[in-house]
Amino acid sequence: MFGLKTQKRSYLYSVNPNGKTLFWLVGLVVIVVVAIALSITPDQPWLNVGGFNQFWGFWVAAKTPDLSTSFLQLTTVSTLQTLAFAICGTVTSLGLGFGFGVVASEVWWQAIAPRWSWWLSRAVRTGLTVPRSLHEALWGLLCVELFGLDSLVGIVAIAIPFGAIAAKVFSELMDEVPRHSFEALRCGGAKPIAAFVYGILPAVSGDLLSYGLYRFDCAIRSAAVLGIIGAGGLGYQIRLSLQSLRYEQLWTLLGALFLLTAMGDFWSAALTRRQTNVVSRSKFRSKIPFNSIGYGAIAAVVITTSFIWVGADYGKLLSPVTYSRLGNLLVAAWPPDWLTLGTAWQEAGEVMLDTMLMSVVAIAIAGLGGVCFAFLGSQKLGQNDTSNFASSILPRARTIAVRGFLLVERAVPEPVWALLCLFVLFPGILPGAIALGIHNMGVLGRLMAEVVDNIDQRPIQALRHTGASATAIFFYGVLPQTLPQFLGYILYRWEVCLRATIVVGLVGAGGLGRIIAEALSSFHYAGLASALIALFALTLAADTLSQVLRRHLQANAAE
Amino acid sequence: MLEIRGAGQRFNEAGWALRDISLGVAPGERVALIGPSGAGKSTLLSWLNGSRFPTVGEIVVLGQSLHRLNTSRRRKVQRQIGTIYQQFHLINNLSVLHNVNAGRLGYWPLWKSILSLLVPVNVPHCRQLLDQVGIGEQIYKPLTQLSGGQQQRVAIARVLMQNPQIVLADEPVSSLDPERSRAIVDLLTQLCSDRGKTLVASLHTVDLAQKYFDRAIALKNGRLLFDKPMAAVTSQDLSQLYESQDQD
Repeated sequence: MFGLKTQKRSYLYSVNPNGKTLFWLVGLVVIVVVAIALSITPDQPWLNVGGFNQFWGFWVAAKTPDLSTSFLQLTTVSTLQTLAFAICGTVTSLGLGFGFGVVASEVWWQAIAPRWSWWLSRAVRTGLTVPRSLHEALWGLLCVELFGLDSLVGIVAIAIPFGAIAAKVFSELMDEVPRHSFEALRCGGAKPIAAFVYGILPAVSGDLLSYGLYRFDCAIRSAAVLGIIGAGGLGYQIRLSLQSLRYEQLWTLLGALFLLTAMGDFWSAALTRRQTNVVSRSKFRSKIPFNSIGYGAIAAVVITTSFIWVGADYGKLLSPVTYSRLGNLLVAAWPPDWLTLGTAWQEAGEVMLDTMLMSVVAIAIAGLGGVCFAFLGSQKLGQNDTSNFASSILPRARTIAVRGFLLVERAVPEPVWALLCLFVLFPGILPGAIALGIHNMGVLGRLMAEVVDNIDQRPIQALRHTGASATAIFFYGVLPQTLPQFLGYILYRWEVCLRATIVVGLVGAGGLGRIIAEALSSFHYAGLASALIALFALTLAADTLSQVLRRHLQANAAE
Repeated sequence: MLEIRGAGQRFNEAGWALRDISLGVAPGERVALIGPSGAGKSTLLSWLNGSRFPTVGEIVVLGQSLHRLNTSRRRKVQRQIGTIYQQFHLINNLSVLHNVNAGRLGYWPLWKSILSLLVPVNVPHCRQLLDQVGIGEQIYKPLTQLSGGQQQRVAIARVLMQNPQIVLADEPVSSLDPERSRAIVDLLTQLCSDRGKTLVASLHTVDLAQKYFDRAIALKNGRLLFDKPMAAVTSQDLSQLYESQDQD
């Protein structure tokens, strides 16, 4: 009884607005309100009434998707192509991530050069922030400049940023492994690298694999976006259909994308379930050696087929033409042409502010929507103690409907949402923010629904037994448990939103993305360089702020 | 074989963890390191396997002063010292076989170490050693499926695989129940005397030390209290060794 009491007290404290939390919350609300106000400028028209016909046409076409044999064939091939891009990109990024993860870890350098280990690992990690902070679509555009329109673009553009993120995660995992077996091997006279391979790598190998499979889910979405900028696959077909206003085809393609995303979700969910099984019951492990040979063989066949089938010209990675192009590009890009951002500092500041505003409005939409739908879509929350089947039909139907809606939101890539918004809205911050908001609402809603489903039921039972109303239970039992994690996810997703402003900017939604698109189409590399540097600075600032806020949240929750 | 010359260890300004330690161990001796917890037993053992250098003084192993050697020559000396730990310090995610083979890492070239993870080498030898420690049938099992006592047996097999001249054991049975403790110490001392290995083990249970070891080195508050043949240790010695702990 006493234990339960203290537990409840600590939950309350974590959400009780002591001075600091209240300050942060009010601050956040003010920022969001100001951002929304600024993004709707009253002196400029923002609603494009003339576009409503097209917009309506798009929705009407949903009744008659193009199901002709030839188009279904094309859709199937494109879907497989996107899938193959995702597989190749993930595999390459895991390879890169592993290699760079090792040299970014402190323990590796402790084995090789103990005196400099801290500095060397920091140096590599700092170097990795650059590839990480640029969106894969930007890498895609830069790759197009180097390789031309080749399937290689789709693979490399996923591999670079994903590889850098994987390297960061892997290096942290390796550094978290307890050192004692590593040290014990060293004491027995083992060579540094051998001690690393035996004492550190086995401990993380499982985590590396499951992280890679988790990233595959994200790679599918990225592959679709990359298609839109020309790498091929579903995204490319979606762009063609949109440009030629053939909405019946568009619906077929979106349906395929929906299925692909659903498959990815299903798989990663099944995987995490299996993972927890393995952890909770170690008996599963004895079977793995046999199974893993079978899984490994299937994976090897699928991966090899994918690499061959996408038909990328891998020779381009090493060809002198690529490197002379890269050299020319770098020469042309230096010094950066700051005038591209604006003729005065004020203008440049405005562009950066616009980009920031877009991300803030987007995350406000995504966060609020995500929280609402997470509670609506939770499997456990609506169910009472009664296990009456009839009374559980309604909640169940609601759960399925909400989850399906969230799936649609995230299955459709941000630029497609942006193009739809641009039917009825004039270019600017708003269409970009709405597009990003909708897509990220889908992502956040799913993550948050998982949080709601995993909350500790005991305090809620206890509250229910005191006779508390459903609303009271929500505010005293559910919200205190979920809010810290929700805010954490929202901040994390905000970083992603800021990077993704580029993707919607490319299709004309405004901000730095628009400037980058213009600089690229006019081969103005010095201008591109300045925009990229500005973007890098913004990303770095946002990441730092988000990290500080998250640490504050964690410290508060731990109190 | 092992020699400590006027060594002391100071971790911070507060004081000395070990001070004025001088002693020598002859080949084939079985030495028990006894004393209350916090007396400095683990620090002394970490001097002997080269994982820590004393703040002052010198450690001589097999005629070579450890801190004067360069890394690769020190590693050669370290190969002649096997260590068994209280928390086993095995590799959880590998099978028993690989854990035992890890004892050879100091001898194998790198390519062989890595290859062995894919295609295990040295299997018959592993099996033979595991049979000697009584768990031969567990060879292909993941380490985590083994009980604490079995894991310590794997650690012993690893040291046998390393085949050093000196075996150090840092509280090898502290995390085991009394029955298993006795079996492990019995096994360890038996294997070491069969193969003529020098054994230095720290123990917190005096009865095990008295039964299986021929010499006692007692540490108290970072100083050497006594160092004499086990048979000469009196109950007065022991009560002096452990008494002040109650007063603290």
